[in-house]
Amino acid sequence: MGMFDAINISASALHAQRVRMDVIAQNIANANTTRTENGTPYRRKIVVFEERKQSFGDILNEKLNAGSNTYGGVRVKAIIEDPSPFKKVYDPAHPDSDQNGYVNYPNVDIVTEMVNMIEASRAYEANITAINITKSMITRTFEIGK
Amino acid sequence: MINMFEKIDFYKKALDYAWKRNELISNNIANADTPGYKAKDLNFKVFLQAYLNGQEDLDLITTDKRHIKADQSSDSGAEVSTLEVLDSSFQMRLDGNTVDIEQEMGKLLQNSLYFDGVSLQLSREINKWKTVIKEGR
Repeated sequence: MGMFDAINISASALHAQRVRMDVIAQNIANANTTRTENGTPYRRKIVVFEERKQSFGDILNEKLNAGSNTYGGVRVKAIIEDPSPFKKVYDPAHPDSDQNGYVNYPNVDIVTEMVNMIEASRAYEANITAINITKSMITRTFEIGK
Repeated sequence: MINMFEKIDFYKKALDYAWKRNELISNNIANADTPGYKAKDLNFKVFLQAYLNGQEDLDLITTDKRHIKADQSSDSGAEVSTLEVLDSSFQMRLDGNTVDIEQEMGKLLQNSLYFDGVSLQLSREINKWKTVIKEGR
């Protein structure tokens, strides 16, 4: 039960949500990118979260103290590519159009991205609140006996 | 004579409980978007019952002296962790996550107020002793 464990937990979530925000920004920025380094259109990226497990030392301590659990918060497990198909748009004048005149546009849906962005920013706020509450609890302990 | 610090010890345990619970709820909020994560909470009823039954430290019950005791260290984390339960309001989302963010924020605030209350009581208890030591001056 370390003093700043709760803050570290919330901070890990802040980091994870920030990474998510970065990826969403990347998706929106590339919503019309028809040509990447590999020659394919841009593929939408998704962040996958997982519960962060403690370090080896923490787990050893936990076993020695008969299950005094510690928590690690959350971490970004992977950034995967959305396998859904590209959007086909008829535009024969486009330099990336195929022989039938269709252009493959990225599988980014701006509306979905905006919704995810709001969700990420709200989750960020929730964790900030959690940090503030932990902070007020810590300051309160300093005042015990005053 | 009654134990002078009995009450202080009790408050200390209550603070331990709130401290650990704060950590747990923070962890729930942090994992609000983690697929498959199950919300956890501490069970205050069990905590209080065990205390009232005189089983203050909530140790593991050992039947042989070669058995390993739970509280070999003075770390009080062990006693609280035995009370950890999965959150009972079990509404799972499609991704297997059971965190209800509104509920967690509410619990976080309640827990913080509870902590403030107990620490205030603890302060007053200490001040009482201070008054006694200073002979009421």
